Amino acid sequence: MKKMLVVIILVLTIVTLSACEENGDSDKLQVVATTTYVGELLKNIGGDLIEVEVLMGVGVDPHDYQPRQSDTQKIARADLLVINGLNLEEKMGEVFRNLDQEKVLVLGDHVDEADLLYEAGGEVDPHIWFNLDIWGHLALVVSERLADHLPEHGDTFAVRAEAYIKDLTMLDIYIRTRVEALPEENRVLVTAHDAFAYFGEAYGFEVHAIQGISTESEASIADINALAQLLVSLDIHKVFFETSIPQATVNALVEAAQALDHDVSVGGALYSDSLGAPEYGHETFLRTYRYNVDTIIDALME
Amino acid sequence: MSIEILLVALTTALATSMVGVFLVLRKLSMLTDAISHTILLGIVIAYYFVRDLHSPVLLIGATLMGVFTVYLIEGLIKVKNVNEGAAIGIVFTMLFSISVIIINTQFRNVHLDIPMVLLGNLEFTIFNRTTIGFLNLPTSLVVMLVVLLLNLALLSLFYKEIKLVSFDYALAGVLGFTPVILHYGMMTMVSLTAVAAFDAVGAILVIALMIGPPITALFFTRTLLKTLLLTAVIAVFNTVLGYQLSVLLDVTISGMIATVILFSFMTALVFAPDKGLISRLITLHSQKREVAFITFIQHVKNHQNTADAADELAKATIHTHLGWSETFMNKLIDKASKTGYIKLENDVIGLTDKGNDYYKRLRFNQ
Repeated sequence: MKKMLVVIILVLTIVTLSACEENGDSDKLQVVATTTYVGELLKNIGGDLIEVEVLMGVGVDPHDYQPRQSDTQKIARADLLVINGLNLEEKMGEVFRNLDQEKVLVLGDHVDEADLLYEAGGEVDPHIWFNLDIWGHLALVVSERLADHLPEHGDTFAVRAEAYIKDLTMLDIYIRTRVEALPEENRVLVTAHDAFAYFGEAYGFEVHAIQGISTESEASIADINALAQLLVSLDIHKVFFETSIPQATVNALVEAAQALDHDVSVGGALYSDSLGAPEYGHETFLRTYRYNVDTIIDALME
Repeated sequence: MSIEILLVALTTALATSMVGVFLVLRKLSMLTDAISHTILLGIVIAYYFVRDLHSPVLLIGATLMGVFTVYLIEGLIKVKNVNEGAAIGIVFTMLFSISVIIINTQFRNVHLDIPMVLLGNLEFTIFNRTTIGFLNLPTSLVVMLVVLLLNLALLSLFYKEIKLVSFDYALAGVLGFTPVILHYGMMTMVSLTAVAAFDAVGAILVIALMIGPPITALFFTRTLLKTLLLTAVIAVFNTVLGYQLSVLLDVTISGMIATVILFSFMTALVFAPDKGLISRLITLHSQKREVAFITFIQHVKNHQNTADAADELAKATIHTHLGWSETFMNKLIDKASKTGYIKLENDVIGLTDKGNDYYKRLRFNQ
């Protein structure tokens, strides 16, 4: 019993120690973003006037996101929390809905209902950043929201949002020119999971995915065989990996197609749920998107 | 603020490890793992009716399915030829695969999985709050406190009965208890505790908490009350240490606590007095020496005063007859002469009177 007492005292000491918290507030507006896309949008509009923390790092599948101890502090300390919404953040999205809504901006809630795409089962597709019109609109939403918090810099945010939208327009023109050169029958995009519906909708691509919107759903053998048949019937020879998703299912599809005597190879890896890696120079939204388009079109041109 | 996370972790640790003691004693350790998967079927069925991912009905479905799971397992164990592990294995995979098939055929494009509805993160528990009177507390803390108090109340009310049922099922029946009702009651509590805890801290930590502290405690104690108390202490210690380390290393809290649970189990496994590996090795070694000593004395007795005694019992050659190394043999001879059981005449070993008495006692004991 004495030993137990010693242990209890030890435990209580540690508990008390843990009650002391560090406080590292800075003068800038503290903004927390969930995904790399949202974080980059904020950095573009907010620039040096705000401090942005991104919870899900580069290459992280939102489904596999595991919060760390410090994430709690970041969320609690933030002046503004910006999330993608539309179930992309899963259970974490619920967490944000329970917070003081003065501090939360759910981008998905600001998208025009008519622009949203839905899966056959009725679930909304959260990959809204691949629609440049929506993303440009959200740049304005972000700039207005930042202006609410820092009214004295409202004009700066508005100017930056305009400049950003111009960049997006330039990108849009670039994509359209590149797509123009691609024969229409080649405009079929087959990927690991259903992240590119908005891209397909905007630029006239037929999009097929092995997994559904959620990366959790597992592809059955029948799914893969059906998709392999489709590759044969559409005479498509390229499929694509995604950087945040294991490559096993795509490899299975390639093998299934080859079993049907149809030559299929991997056209490259696309960035879907996370921005590109800085070491490849794809760390901005514009570069990530441009890289995706170049990869897709270069491969399908062959 | 972060102290609230620790409090959620502590109440969860206490609530789960208490019921965990009985799971471990009843050889049902992996029951929680089964529940963590089968609740998906509850979620799927509930979704079929409400068609809303955010409905609380999904949570109710999960809870009911958890209870149903333990009833099925409990029922199967009653069937002869099906042991605890097999019962868990078959129910777990059956219910889980049914839910996978339903999702595949009915809800292909719905984001329907357990994390969407249930599995919580300790990191985020403090953002989901409830106000009771003038107190504003994390919802998980309130839920887990209620579960903990309920567990403690039931445990103290039925302590004798639970003890009897856990250790001697047959006797309990003879003495007139209805172990069936008590078993189902306990398993219902296990299921409720597990589902509530999943939502607060996530599945892996719940499984680790239910099993780790009890099996660690069982290295040190033999009585139920001491096991329960020590389990609580170990659970609290692991949780606090794990939490502190997660702050220090800035990693996931649940993962760190589960790791600490593993390490404290390993420490007990190696170092525990009596039941630990080191202590068992020592016992094994001394037993080996004792058996060798007896064999030696027996050998001397058998060959004493026979024609081949000069060869069989010579100090220089005896080890070849017993098949031991010379050094080991010499140690035994030293020990036997010190205790006065043997004497040496012309380098031939013989038993003394005292040695003969010892031998007789050995025979008598047999």
